[in-house]
Amino acid sequence: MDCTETQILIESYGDGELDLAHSLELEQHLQECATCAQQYQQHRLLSTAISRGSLYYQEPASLRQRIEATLPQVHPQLTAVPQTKTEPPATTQVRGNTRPVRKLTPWHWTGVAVPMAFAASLIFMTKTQTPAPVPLTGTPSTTVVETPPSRLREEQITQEVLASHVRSLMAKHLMDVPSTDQHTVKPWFNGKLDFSPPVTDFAPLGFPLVGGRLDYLDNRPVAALIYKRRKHFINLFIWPSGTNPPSATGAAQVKGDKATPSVPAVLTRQGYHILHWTRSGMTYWAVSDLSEGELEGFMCLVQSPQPGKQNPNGSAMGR
Amino acid sequence: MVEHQEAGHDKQARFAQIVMPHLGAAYNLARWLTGHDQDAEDVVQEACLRAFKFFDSFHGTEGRPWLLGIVRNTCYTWLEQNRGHKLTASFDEATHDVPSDSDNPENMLLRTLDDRLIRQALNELPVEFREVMILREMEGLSYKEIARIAGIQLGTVMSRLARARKRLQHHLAQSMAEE
Repeated sequence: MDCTETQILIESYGDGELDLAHSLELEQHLQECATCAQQYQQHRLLSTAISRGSLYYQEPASLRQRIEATLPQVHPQLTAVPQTKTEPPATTQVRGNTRPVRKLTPWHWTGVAVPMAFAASLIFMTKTQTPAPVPLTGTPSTTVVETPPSRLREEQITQEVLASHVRSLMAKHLMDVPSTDQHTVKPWFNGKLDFSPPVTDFAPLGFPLVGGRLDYLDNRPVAALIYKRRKHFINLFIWPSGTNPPSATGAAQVKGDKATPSVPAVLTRQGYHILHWTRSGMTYWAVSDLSEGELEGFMCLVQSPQPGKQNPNGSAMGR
Repeated sequence: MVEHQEAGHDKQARFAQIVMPHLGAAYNLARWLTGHDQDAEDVVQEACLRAFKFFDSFHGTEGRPWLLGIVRNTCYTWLEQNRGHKLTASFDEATHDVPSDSDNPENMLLRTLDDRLIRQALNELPVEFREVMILREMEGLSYKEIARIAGIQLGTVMSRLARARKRLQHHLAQSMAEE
């Protein structure tokens, strides 16, 4: 690739819109050409300056009420009912989201049997403190006959992940250890978990690490890393995949019919996007209200073998 | 009657679930396009009413780009009525280009640029350029989504982004030279 071609493609590359083949060629050129590399740097700087969030106008608190008041009201008393006592009065966004879940999702009921079965099978593990890699293959499928357990299980974890994300944002319990330093966050988990989660700061690539938190998902304590993209938070949950039945990785493929086998599909729930994958023996779940493309970009970063800091021109933002 | 109410309730619940979470994005876009707090609020309110009215025809899951499209159109209607701003069709891109000597502004230290300068530079952009920048950089939308929202071709999205960035860099380099 020469300079002329690079000039044309450099913005699409920076915007994460360039295909993989061209991205690789362009990266090669950026390594060799200082002029183009500088131009790319300019693009990144401008992009970061605009997207860093401080230029984002915050809507007035009264706006939502004002709009809700003008929308046609159909029996308001009903809309209030499913709001359970366990939920704090809380943020409007969540209020809008929680309500229909119970109403619209039949698996919410069918799913009850599964968590029970899993809870039962996992209690053993938690009690004996067995480190992750004990295969549980087959255990749940004996209790649930009609529904593919991996599917239900995926849906159940999806809901847990989503609830955890929403809760972390609304309960002001986003972080236990607020730090942008991966060398502070990583050791913090020592002694709190029976595994050591990989922690990398992707600030140079627009996804700064902002902290860590201990959470509880899939019947076990897990690491939650919090990243930021402009004003959006990403919760990245990590735990050893040994506690999953082997089918769990395949579950994502079942969902995304059109996706190729190795690419996890983005799940959309209540306006949030959720991605999960396994890598090097760890299960990852990322959830955010970012756009699908950006969350996928984030996944690529997390999956990239080199830490973000060493590869600022990496192709990680590519789609 | 009961069925009618059920349907209405269902619609409202779905609207609350799919559209209302994106009020913040709606406000930000409206605020950037209109340039005023109160006008932005009015535009967002109007856009939400429109969105609710046409919600039955929305079958996707991506509420944000859909709502932003409506906000964008509402903004343009508003701009036309209040500022006499001409719509995109008559927007001549060639006349909005920057001199070519600014292609590669040297030593532009964006790191040290404060928000005030960037805000000013963004506001100086023609609204057609500003909107693609907001949608791309602040909302992180794809070219395809932006094209759909702004009702323009994919190639136009790219050329507008390129021109907008060039102008911003030019403007920022000048502001920095002056300060």
